[in-house]
Amino acid sequence: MQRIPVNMLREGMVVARPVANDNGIILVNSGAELTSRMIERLQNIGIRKILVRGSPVDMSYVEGKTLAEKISDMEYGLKFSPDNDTMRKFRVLLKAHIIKRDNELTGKAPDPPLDSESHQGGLDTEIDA
Amino acid sequence: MATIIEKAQLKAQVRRVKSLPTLPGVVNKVVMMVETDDIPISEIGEMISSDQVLASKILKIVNSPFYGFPGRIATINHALVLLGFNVVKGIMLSAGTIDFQSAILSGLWPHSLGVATAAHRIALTIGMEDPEEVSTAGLLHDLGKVVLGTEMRDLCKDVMDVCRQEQISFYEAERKCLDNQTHCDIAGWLAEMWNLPPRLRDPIVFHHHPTLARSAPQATAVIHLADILIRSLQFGSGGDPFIPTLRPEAMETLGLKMGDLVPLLEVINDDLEDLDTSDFT
Repeated sequence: MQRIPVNMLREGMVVARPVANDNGIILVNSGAELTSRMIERLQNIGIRKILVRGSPVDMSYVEGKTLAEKISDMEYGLKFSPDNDTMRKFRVLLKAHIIKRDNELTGKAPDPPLDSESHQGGLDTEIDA
Repeated sequence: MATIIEKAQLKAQVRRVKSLPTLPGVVNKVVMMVETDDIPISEIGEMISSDQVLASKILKIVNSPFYGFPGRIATINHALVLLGFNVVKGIMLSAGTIDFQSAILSGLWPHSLGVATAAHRIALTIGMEDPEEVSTAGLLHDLGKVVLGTEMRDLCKDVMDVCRQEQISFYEAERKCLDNQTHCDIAGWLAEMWNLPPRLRDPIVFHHHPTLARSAPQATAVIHLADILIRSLQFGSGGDPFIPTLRPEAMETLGLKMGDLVPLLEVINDDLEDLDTSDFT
């Protein structure tokens, strides 16, 4: 699954998660194959990025930090954090978020199962009841 | 490096910001007004609109997604009716007058927009009344740094040098150089001079120490969390690369558990992508 800017969408890409407008109305369902008309509509409405199945775009040429750099920045950012319960949990969930978003950028994130409701990926470790 | 300016001198310098020649005359007039004065909203609107440059800056910001009415507010009067006097005044005093983007601390404008966005989202999530006031508090929360970076550049440069050389937070560097005062104190003095209401003033002054906020603890807790999340997402810059410590008391005030931060980070990240990136040029 990959998060792609709308201006890089191409016909044939398959939507991985439903795309909704500001009012929560679903414009494109997950599983839908994009046509050029749909892409134009998404651009006109002002949608910036959507999630598609697979990893159709090579993002390696895009400037930006590598995952290792992002994690390293996070660790440095938390340099002064006390080692208490709150900040330990925060570190875990922030790291998981950074990894998840980077995987979606590069296309390494797993596609949601077909023919089922899309769901937000969760963490393997329980953070809180 | 030791203290380079004493508190009294610093405060005197900040007082001079209030009557800068660069501040439009309209701003001073509006600052004098308090909502209880019997001046009809339409007159206030006309007065602000008479300064077209100021009005267009305000209109651009009120149409940001973090105010909930993107692209739908066409006049200052409309903004006043939809968002209230405090919000418009707050915007006018920050982005409308002081040029965030000319501050030598680059990255403050996107950071402030980011915190406004995150604050709005948190306020919506916990069902706060008047989420637009919280958005404004987010936009204004680092006003002290902006003033330091625009009106007191030499001082700001010294603080930035200490920050870099000693690899400490901007806040700690401020305390070292500015006689234990920080951008929170600076903004607090301005908020007082400008008669900002508690829901705007408390978050500005206490977002680093949310447990000290007496008048508006909830709004302050929102900004405290929003600042942490936006720094964590590395959106813009608050002057240093550090993520402040999250106070569990703030989470309690907001009725949030740590696990709630997982979906919140997701949706805020999405919200950030909707911000008009041309705002950063």
